[in-house]
Amino acid sequence: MQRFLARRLVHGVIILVGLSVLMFTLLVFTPGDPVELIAASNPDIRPEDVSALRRYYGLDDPVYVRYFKWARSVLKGDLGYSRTYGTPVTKIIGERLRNTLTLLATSVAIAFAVGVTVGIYSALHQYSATDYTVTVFAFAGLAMPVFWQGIVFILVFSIWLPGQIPWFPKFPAGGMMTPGVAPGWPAFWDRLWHLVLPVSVLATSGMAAWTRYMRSSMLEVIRQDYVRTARAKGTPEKSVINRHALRNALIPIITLMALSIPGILNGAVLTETVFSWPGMGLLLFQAVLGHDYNVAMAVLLFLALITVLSNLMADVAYAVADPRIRYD
Amino acid sequence: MRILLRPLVTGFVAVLALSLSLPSAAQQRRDTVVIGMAQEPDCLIMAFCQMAAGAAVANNSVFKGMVEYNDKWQLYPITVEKIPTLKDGDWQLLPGGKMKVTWKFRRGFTWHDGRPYTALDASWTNLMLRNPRSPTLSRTIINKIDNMLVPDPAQPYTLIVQWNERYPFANTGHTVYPRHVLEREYLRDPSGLKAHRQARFPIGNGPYRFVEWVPGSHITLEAYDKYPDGVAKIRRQVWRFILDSTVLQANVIANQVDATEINNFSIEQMLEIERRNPQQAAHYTPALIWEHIDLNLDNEWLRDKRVRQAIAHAINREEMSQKLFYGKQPVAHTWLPERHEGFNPNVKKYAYDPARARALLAEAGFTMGPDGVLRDARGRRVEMTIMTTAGNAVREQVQQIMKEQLRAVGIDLRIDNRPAGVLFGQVTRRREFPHMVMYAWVMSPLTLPHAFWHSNQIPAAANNWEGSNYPGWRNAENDKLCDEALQEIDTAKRVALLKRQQELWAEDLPAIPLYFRLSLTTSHKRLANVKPAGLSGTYINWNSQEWTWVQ
Repeated sequence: MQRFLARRLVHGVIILVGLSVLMFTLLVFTPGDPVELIAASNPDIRPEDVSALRRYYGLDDPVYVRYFKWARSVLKGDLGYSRTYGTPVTKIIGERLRNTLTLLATSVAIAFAVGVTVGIYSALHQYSATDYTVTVFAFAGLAMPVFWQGIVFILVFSIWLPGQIPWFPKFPAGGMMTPGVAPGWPAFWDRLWHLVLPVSVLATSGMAAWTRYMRSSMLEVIRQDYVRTARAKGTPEKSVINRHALRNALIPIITLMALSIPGILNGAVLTETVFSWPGMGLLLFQAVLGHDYNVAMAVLLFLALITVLSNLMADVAYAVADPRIRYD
Repeated sequence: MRILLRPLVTGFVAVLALSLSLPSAAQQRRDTVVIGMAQEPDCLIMAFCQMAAGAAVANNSVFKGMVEYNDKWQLYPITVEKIPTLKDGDWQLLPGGKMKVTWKFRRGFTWHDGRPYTALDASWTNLMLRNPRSPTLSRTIINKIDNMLVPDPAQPYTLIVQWNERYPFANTGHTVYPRHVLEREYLRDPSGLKAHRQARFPIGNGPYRFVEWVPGSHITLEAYDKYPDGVAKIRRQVWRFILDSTVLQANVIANQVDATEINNFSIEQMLEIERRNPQQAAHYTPALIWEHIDLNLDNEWLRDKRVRQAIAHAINREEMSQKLFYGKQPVAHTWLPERHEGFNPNVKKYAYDPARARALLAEAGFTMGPDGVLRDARGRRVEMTIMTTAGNAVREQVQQIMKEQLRAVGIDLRIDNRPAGVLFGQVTRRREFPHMVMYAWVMSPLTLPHAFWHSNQIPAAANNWEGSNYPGWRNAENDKLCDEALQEIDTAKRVALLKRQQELWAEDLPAIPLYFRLSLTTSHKRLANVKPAGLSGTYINWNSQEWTWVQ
């Protein structure tokens, strides 16, 4: 297991370095650079100013020189300076990371709780009306693009329903907090209130997928011999499901969960953009549009790191949860 | 099963209870106004930064200039006693084409940390901005100035500006930053100024002082108690950043923002807001935004004036204005908008007339091919390419209409769009469009033809891609008019030059004028004294210290 872990970690590092080269090159070769953008929006700017700005931002060096400069400072723990915000990238990322993790953790927790519960119910009542309904909703959830669903949720829960039903609570149409809200508990509740819509949107796709997986996993397990044996020896049904079937059915779900984290993170980029949630996704979107290379690289690297780590976690979790699996 | 269901139900009930316990938006907002924008500022020292969002917050609320424009587009003095004029003698023309302008600063203006705001700040700011090591974005005006002097530092309320050339807008004021805040960093390293605390937490002199900036979310400002022209009536001003214009629109309809600026709304979205929420007023303000199609005059077909005129005759611009903009955005016949002082209504106009277009093309030597597309003298099929910003729905609609209408006169139009960053960063600046490119110029009352139409402003590798004459128009009389207008102080004479320049322009037609865009903003109807100006640089909050909530 230790050798396996070491090998995977080395692989992970190689993948990250390769990705960083790829992402850096792609970003640099995106047409138009920050100075071109400044110059385009300002007809008064003079060529001397343009070349001074290019020197100031170090845009005249060859790409590989720029990459090595960037890589060297990253290895020293310095992610550089944001061109747009004029502050160190680490400082910007810190705030945003917390916001994204809040969104992500809440969504995953809810998606897992609901997905697993509904999946089990669906499996135990296979081909019932509920099962069919759940199936329809699960496929709808899988099929709905996140950004579209986000806008529809805002229209329905912030505008349409509160307009139709007087007592219906009006959900905030985006944002993370009400500006000027008192700190302490009011701020906490306010934050929670702003989480409802984005979390529902982000949780939907995960929820839908996990419902389907849980259903099929559970269906497979309850047909196993040991479940029949458990029933035959007179174990109460509740215990058969909870202790014998559920535990085994959850094994593949744990792996799937780890594997689907990068996907949810992608969804977070879109959800954050639609809901103006000041997280990493919105930051990436703004950074790429504004050619803020250092910020974009930091966010992309973070996404890559999460992807590599969650894959690793999936492998490890599999070994831990399933005694039949051993790595060398 | 039940064990898992219980927390779900509890959670749902908690959320509902929470919703009922929160104070409603209306209750919170009595002392607050929330302004939504589809952009987040990059920084708030506008001499170093470029985004309009920053200018809206910084230049109109946190800072106040020496003079500014009001909604009638008249200059009015703010931190100075009066606007210098030639007549009063505080604006003097000197021999050798030089000028001297004397400004009297008002007493009583202070920076938000309590220190006095004086002419010394102005003269220091000029020195700081002209330093080649400062990250100043544009030194065009600064380079016309030799010096800014404060004759009596003990009474620092007189500023003398010595100009090294004639400039008709020497009365529009200068940038003033707090010397005591910036000087230490400036002396250490001017290139580090963009990262100064002032760029994120500015100390200004305006009616609102800066409180906080939550990146990705909002900026909060609070009324400055010592603002000499009266403390702002609404205590707090909050700027929320909602980058997606559909979501911003939803926020307006849901009354979650009270006003919008830089909102990227289309006319349809504005109409939708009016329909869905009668409490919100939609403002359609005439502006100085000129939507047009540059023609590449180096192209052998488009070099011929008759071909350019034929294209103008072949496009039904009136119908576009009616169908796409409900008649709200008027057709343009020249490049200067109606509200610009130099606007000339009597230029040559090109009405929709396909027969005339066909005749002009035949005159230019084109013959109709068997497929209904023209052939040039060398027998080549007349295919032209039009480029614009990809994803801009309105421009894409215009392209479709044009494609059909040009096809009717025998021109096959190809559409080839690029993201805005690429189009403006590369295609227009490097003149990389083979035939046509559609975009808008955002102008100001100070706009003069020189940068757009003088032949020395055609960007090329030789001049390091300087200038904005993207079509590549060359006309000797026009060059002379552009040069003269640039230095003509007398308004009447300058206007006469501009009018003649537009006549020449409309005859030569280096670009197809499409229409003048409106400045689109919204505000809650209970928010009184909102007067959108429709000028770039003068945003909806230009008079926000006078806004009040009414019942």
